[in-house]
This record gives sequence, C-alpha cells and structure tokens, in this order.
Amino acid sequence: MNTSADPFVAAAFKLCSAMMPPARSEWLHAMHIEATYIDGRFQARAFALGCCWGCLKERMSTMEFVHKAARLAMTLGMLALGIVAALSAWRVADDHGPTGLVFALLSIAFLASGLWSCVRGPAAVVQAASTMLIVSAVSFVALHSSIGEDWFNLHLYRALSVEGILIWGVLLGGALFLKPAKPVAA
Amino acid sequence: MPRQPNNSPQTRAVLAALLGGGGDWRHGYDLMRETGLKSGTLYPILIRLTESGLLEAEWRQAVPPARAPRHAYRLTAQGRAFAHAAAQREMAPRSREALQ
Repeated sequence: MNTSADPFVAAAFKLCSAMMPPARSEWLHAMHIEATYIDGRFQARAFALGCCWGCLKERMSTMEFVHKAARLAMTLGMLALGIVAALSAWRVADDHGPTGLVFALLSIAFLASGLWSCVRGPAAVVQAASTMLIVSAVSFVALHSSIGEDWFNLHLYRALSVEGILIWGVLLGGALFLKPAKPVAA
Repeated sequence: MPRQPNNSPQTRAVLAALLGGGGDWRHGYDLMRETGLKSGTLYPILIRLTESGLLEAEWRQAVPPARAPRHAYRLTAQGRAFAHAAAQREMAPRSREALQ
C-alpha cells in the first residue's frame, strides 16, 4: 500500500519542513521518501511522527534559539512564576490543603524549569516547556471530563490548566521560533 | 560531564547493524526494524554519523525503478574501524564478567 497520500503523513512532514534547518533539507527529503516505502498506514504514521521529533531535535541542536536577553527573560519569568506559585501555596495551604498542593507542584515545576534552563542552556527551555505543555494539556482534558466534577475549586484548577497551556505554549513557541536556525555545514 | 560523541547505546546499535550488513547499503526503515529505534532517534544519529565522516549516504535507484530513489547508508572505512572498536569496548566488560 502506498502511504504517500495519507493526509496525516503529509501534515506531519509539512510540520517537519517548518522545523528542519534548511541546510538539512536533503535529510528531510530522505525521511519523506522513506515514508512512502513503508507498508501499513499505522507504521507510516508512527514513522512520520518520529520524524517530527527528529526534526525538532535537529532544530534544537542547530539553532540560535533566542537572543540571550530573551532567554534570560524567559528563565527569570519561570523563576518569578515559581516564587509567586510558592507564595500562593503557602497562603492557601492552611485553608485548603489540595489547592495548596497544586500551587506547590506548580511552583516546583516553574522553579525546576527555570533552574534547568540556567544549568543546561537554551535547549532546556524547549524540553521544559514541551513537557509542561503536555502536562497542562492533559490536566485540561482531565478536568473537563467527568473525573473532577465534584472537586472543590474545580474552576480554579481548570483556569490553572488553561494558564499553563498559554504560558508554556508561549515559552515553547518563543524558544523555537524567535530566532531562525543557524546555517549548518552541509 | 559532557558525553562522548557517537557513543550512546542507540548509536552503538546503529553501528552494529551497519557493521553486520557487511558493507551493503542499508535503508532507514530497515535499520529501524533491526535496531528497534524510532525514526526520531535513528535519523539524528545517521546525520551525526554522516557529518563525522563515519557514514556515507547516497541516493540509490529504487527497485522497481519506477519509484523514487531512496537514501541509503553504509559505513566508511573510518566508520567500520570505529564500529569495530565500539563493539570491542562493549564486549570487553562482558568477557571480564564471564571470566569472574
């Protein structure tokens, strides 16, 4: 079965072409052609998704992510949000333990991401932001399903998940696309 | 501590698969199936190996020729030496364990 016409595969490679550094376009072409040789729609889709991840890694390894100032601002922003969340946790912990715990976890996530970005450099912003974006998105879906219907402060948790998607989405988008990829030796 | 380049278990698996191919040209999907690696792991490794001169990549005519040419890979002489050395490094601790 020829999977080259599969819209999912086509969309995945369109995303790949947006992420792959131009100097490595031949590799992207190689991946795309390889996908057409794979029998089975599921296998071709899995292959294409993997290629998206590979292209993202290539972009991370070759790009000048952001100007140093923007990177510093992102890191400081994460640390500041961590402190705000820690203060919120401290204030609400006595009134409502679970809410305090949610804020404490948020604080840990922000502070750990900020510190991770300081220690490991620009690629860490992408790693931290993509991880937290997934966590926020999963929380958003879970909180809008029947799981948390009877929870106290459900609206607050939902708002926090939306806020998380926005904050981490902006951080990820900023880290990936503020600065174009550095040309790499072919 | 910085990692040694081209020394991850995944890279060693790719090198072993290419070495086992006996110098034949291999395709990305074949290597994926043999090593169990995902495409998102395999292709960055192939790129690194090619850029460091351990691997050569070439567009090869497909069979049947009506289909688009396909990217194929094989180790260079330097790559074969590197892959042999990596395989020996991996075997050495096992041999020591077997002797104990």
